[in-house]
Amino acid sequence: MKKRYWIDAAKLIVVFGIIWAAFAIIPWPSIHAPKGADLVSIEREKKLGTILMEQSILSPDAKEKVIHSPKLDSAIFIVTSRLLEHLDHPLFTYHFYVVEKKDVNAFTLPGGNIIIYSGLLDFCQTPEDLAAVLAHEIGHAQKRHVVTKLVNELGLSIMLSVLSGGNSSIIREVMRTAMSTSFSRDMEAEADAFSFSLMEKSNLDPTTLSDFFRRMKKEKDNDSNLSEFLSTHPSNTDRIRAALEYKTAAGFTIKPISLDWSVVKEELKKVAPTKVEEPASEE
Amino acid sequence: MEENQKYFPVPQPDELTRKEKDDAMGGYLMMFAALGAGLPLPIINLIASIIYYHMNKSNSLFVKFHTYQALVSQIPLTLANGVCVFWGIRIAIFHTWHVNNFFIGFALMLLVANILYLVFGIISAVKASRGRMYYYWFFGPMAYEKVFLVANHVVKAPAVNHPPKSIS
Ligand SMILES: [Zn+2]
Repeated sequence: MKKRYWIDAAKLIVVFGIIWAAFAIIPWPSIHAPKGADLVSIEREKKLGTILMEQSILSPDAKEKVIHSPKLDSAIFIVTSRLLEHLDHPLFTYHFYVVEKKDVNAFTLPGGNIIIYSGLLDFCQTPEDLAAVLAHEIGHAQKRHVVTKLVNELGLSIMLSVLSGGNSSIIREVMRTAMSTSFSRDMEAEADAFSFSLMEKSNLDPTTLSDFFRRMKKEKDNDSNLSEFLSTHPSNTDRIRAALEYKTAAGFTIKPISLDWSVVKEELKKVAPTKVEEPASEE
Repeated sequence: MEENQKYFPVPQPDELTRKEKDDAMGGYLMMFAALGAGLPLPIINLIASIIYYHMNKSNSLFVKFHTYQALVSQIPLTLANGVCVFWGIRIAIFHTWHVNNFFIGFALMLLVANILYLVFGIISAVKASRGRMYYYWFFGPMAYEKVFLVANHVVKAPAVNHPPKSIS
């Protein structure tokens, strides 16, 4: 009888629990619908990608040239088709371009255009290394991170002006932003998670990305080409741990990519001879 | 058992001195004063209330009731605010946790709770200064029982004197 007020305490807890739940149910736009992805449709992103590619890397007077090598192209094709075969609902037709630059890096440009620097191919020791990094980049494209970042950084009006033709200085600015500014940590984590699951679906070891990051961390002091990748892809211990903690489904089996990676290395020496020598000590 | 159910009479406004009314009001005002200071770490208002309650422990039942109600009612809110600050720090600094709907919902729920608490704090400060009792949900009856229940005041010393054994 005298403890009746405990019922009031229970009511208070229930009332505030309901208020919490009610606020939590509301789909807060800033989280669930990134601005850029809402404002730029898939079709517009494709067009944006085409314009950017034509006026930068694919243009005749581009500073950074796309490497045309049948051997590299077929290697990239073998690696990427393994991933793309297992990609559910691709938003774009993915294109991969190898650009001659010794930085260890890869970029995703709008419309599913992914740039691979020759330095990255050189740093990869297996086709699976490359697959893990490219799965991460495909994640940025599938999750619409690229346009989201561009709209956040430059504003929608710049994007629309590129779509309506644009001028070369605007396109340079967009390319610079796409290639040099980093994604948010949440986006990186999302792209990592995408990589793990796409790797698993493709019968490749999802922890490959962690090995790759660890090797980068270890070698960053004696390889200056890694600094750019690390500045746009902070490879902190959280990301390495996330990869190691990823649980594959029961019955998961690894099917290695049948590709002789030494062929890629040999070809790189011919077509991208500007690469620096590899660090002598290897564990 | 009868003894345990007895309550002291609730004081009426004309039985209270101006000082008692002001001291009772002070219990609520204390938490507003400390709220600003306690914002980064929402524990300071609680500490201030605990000190204020102990300062007024020997004061009249009316003052005790109001200061006790002000103290206990802010414990759950302070704990919840503390959780929110801790949660926010984890998100802002360590990046291992992320802003999600649970956090936004929790923060907004706390915003509502803090505003409500402020409103009820002002109401009860005004009531106390007029010499009126004011009972919060749950905390009001709890504070009433703690302060006015006779049994909570009678400290029974263990019996040392007994009748002669030959008689009993
Ligand atoms: Zn990334």
